[in-house]
Amino acid sequence: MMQFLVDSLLRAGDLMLVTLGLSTVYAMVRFPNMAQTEYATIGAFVGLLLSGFGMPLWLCVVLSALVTGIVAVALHRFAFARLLRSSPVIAMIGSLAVAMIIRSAIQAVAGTRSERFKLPIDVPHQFMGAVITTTQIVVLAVTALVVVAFLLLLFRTNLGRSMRAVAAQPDLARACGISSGRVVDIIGFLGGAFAAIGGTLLAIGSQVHFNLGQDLLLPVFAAAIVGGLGSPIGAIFGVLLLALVETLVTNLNFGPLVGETFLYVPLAYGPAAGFCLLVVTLMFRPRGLFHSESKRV
Amino acid sequence: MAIITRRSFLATTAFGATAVGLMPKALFAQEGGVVFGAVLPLTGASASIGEDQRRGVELAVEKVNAEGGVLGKPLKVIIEDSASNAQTALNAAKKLVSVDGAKVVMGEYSSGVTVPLREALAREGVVHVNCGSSSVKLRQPGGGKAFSVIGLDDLMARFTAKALREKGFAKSAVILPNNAYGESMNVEFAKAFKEAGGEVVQTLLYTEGQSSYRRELQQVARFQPDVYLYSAYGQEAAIINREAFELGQKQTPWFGIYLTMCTSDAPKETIEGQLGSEVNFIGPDSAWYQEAYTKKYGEGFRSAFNGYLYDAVAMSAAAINKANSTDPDAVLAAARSLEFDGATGPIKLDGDNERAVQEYLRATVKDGAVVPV
Amino acid sequence: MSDFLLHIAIIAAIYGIVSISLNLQAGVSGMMNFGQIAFFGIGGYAAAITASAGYSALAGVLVGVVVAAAAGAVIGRLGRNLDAEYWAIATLGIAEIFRIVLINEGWATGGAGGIGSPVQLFPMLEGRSQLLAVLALAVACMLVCLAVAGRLTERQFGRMMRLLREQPDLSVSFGHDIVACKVRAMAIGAAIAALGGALSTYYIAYISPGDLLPFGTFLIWTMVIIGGIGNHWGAVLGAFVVQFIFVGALFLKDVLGFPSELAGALRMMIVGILLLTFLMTRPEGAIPERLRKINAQD
Repeated sequence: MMQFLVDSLLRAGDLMLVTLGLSTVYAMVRFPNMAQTEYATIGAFVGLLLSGFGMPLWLCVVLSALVTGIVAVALHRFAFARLLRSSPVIAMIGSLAVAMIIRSAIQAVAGTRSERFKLPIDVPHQFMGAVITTTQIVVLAVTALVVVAFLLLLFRTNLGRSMRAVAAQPDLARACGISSGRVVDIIGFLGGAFAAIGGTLLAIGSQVHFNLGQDLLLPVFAAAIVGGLGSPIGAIFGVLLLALVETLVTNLNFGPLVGETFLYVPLAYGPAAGFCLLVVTLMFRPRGLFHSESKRV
Repeated sequence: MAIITRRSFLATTAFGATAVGLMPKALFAQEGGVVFGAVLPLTGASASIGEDQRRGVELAVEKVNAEGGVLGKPLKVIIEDSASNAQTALNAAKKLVSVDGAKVVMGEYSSGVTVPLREALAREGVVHVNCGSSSVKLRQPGGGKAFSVIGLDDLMARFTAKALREKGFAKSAVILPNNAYGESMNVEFAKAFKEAGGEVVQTLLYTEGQSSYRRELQQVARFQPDVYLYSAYGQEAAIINREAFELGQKQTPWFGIYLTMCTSDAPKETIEGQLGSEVNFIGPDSAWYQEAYTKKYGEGFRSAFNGYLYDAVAMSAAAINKANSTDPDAVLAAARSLEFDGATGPIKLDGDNERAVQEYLRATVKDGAVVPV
Repeated sequence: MSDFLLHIAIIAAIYGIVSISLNLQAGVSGMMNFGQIAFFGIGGYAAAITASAGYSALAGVLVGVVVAAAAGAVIGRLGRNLDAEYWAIATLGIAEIFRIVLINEGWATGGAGGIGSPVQLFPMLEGRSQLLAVLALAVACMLVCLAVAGRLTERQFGRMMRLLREQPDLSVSFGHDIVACKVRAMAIGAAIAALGGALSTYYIAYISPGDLLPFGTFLIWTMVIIGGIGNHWGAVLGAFVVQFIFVGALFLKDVLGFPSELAGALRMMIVGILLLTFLMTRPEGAIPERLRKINAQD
């Protein structure tokens, strides 16, 4: 049981920050940015590059978040803001083109080989019957810290209030004197920075290569949609739910029901679990679990 | 504004037209040489395999040209991207044949691309060399206009099953990618291992591109295999090795099919002592080849696929030289009569133009490097 | 060289058909279908499976079109309450589920390695004349689809669909049955896409799950957008422009003399940059939609 929870949490940790960034940015710009997961690849490779210069790990993470955040804002101003003037669909297709450009640029520069931080692989701890390594604990802790910090920012500061106001009622917020351009910039920056931290943590805890962003795209979007696009709380729960369901599918043993020792859902069907969750959720909650039309900010 | 946008629209479309219009001249400029084509997955999910395949081509071209070229003329191999997609691969193949004048086209990695490529080339009357797909479904009676330098999975499966049984393993877990290769190897190995008196207790056909396989690995472990048979590459190989290590599953022996490929990206501490089968170290040229590869790319073999591409180019060149002609039927006849010593060992074709013999090697990981045993 | 151009034209015409199908759903009725490649796949697999069982091309196309239309109708009905973005990702998810099933049910589909079609479109012809015949057939199919889509769009149904796209609430208050309208648009669009898939499979003689990745749908979207969303001729032009860009990139990399280790990545980058440039400088597409007053019929 403990192992089940640990596995779910580790999976959630892989997706959490990227999904949170995607959903929060969506609340501002109102189009699903398909390049968002590529920011994770950028972040991971910037982090790897910096650690190659001998920088301490924490500084690599911070700087890669900074660099990627700036890239995200620049891309928004240069490309997405202009595309959005036409329509959200144009912006969405444009974000696909941007994703292609980023991916091929990373492939051209960094090559096709998969990379990780050159840290020793540690022997796992036994923790209440579950197996977990120190690196994994640190990765999870950092992820949780970023999530909590962001929630505090969102719900306990004036800046957060402005963000929620712009998300809920952009025109009204402007009328109240909130500079929506500035808020969009800040959120865009955070979206890029979160993706970068998520990508760098993946490179620390596992492995990254130039296709990381593409590989993350579908699970991240599934989680964001299940939670309700544009809702940070929804993104967090969406990721947790997706991780739980995926882990459940590999753990459910139907064997005893039919008198066998083991009978599992074929592992090859595992990736379908997330999409089934997505479809089922939308059949009952057409705008995801945490969507509410108007809310008090 | 309207004019500018229209102009840019026209410019974009005109660009393609100019590129197509100008090209043939530039391409035919390499007159006098013999041209081969290679269609490889240079982008997309299998791009890292494609890169390793490309290296094999480069090394082979250097070697062939250093030894006098093809029909006394320099050899050039034009490499195109398949993007792991049949339609893109066909665009590339058609271009190679009808614009570049390629006499032989090799490719690809996934059999979902290799088969349509082979069909299209057969219709063009151009020799196709299979250098990366080992699914047993590729065998076609008579061989058509194609031949293969890669042994199909049944050969490797029988070798591996025998190696495992001789080590005394009876209950094997199988971990393979959920693609055409993994699918075919899974079926062939289960068959061969059963014939040899063993049993496959659980199979994990993993989906490529996941950031973690922890949960899948744990399910497999519940079946308590006495050996893990696996084959993986790049990203997935690194993650699977690392996570199995972190989950304590490396107490049980691991056996890698194409051991170099399985271990080249993995953290060193997670692969020590692994067993496996390998192809790249066998032929009389192999020591030279291994050295040339390491010298040129500054690292050890990434996978076995560079060797197959090397052999595809070198054997095609040898066949054309023997036939003294680039006529497809003459080339195929020459290829059938060759006993070619390649980087992946001796190559001899059977009646279906498939590789009849492929010698494999048992290997192990010692001090982080793959060595034959 | 001319064989190469014929091949490119065949592929472009097939994509033209698929592009029309998406335009009918997305362009005219505003449904963000991001799973269109699955309907293409239904047509393609129906062709390959029936051909392997010994049935003719006509039978294969019919099976594909009917199955795809039914699937389209079901998905249209299931998704009747969804907003555009949710609809987009839901259809993307359904297409992925379909692809995963294709990979894992190898007994019917050939599994991850795919399945071949022993049936050729014009077995009595050879070489160039075969290519010409296939091209003529593909263009004819494309023109028929264009006519069908055009007729649908010009009539009452098209007016309803456009109203549905622009003013869904007003459309309800007019008493239009929105769900039935969406279901019809999905079913017809799916059937047209399946026709494209079947033609592609007969021409290439093969189909595999690798041909049905989400990228395929993105590509079809790109064609529709570049051509001018909402305009069927635009959709066709978009398919040709995109195919042109892909082929252009193929040659441009040779002209620029890219080293082979970078060729793949740079080709993708060229494609991406061209698309982005196009979207930013001409977002309305090559042939924008012309909205005219149409007299109600029926």
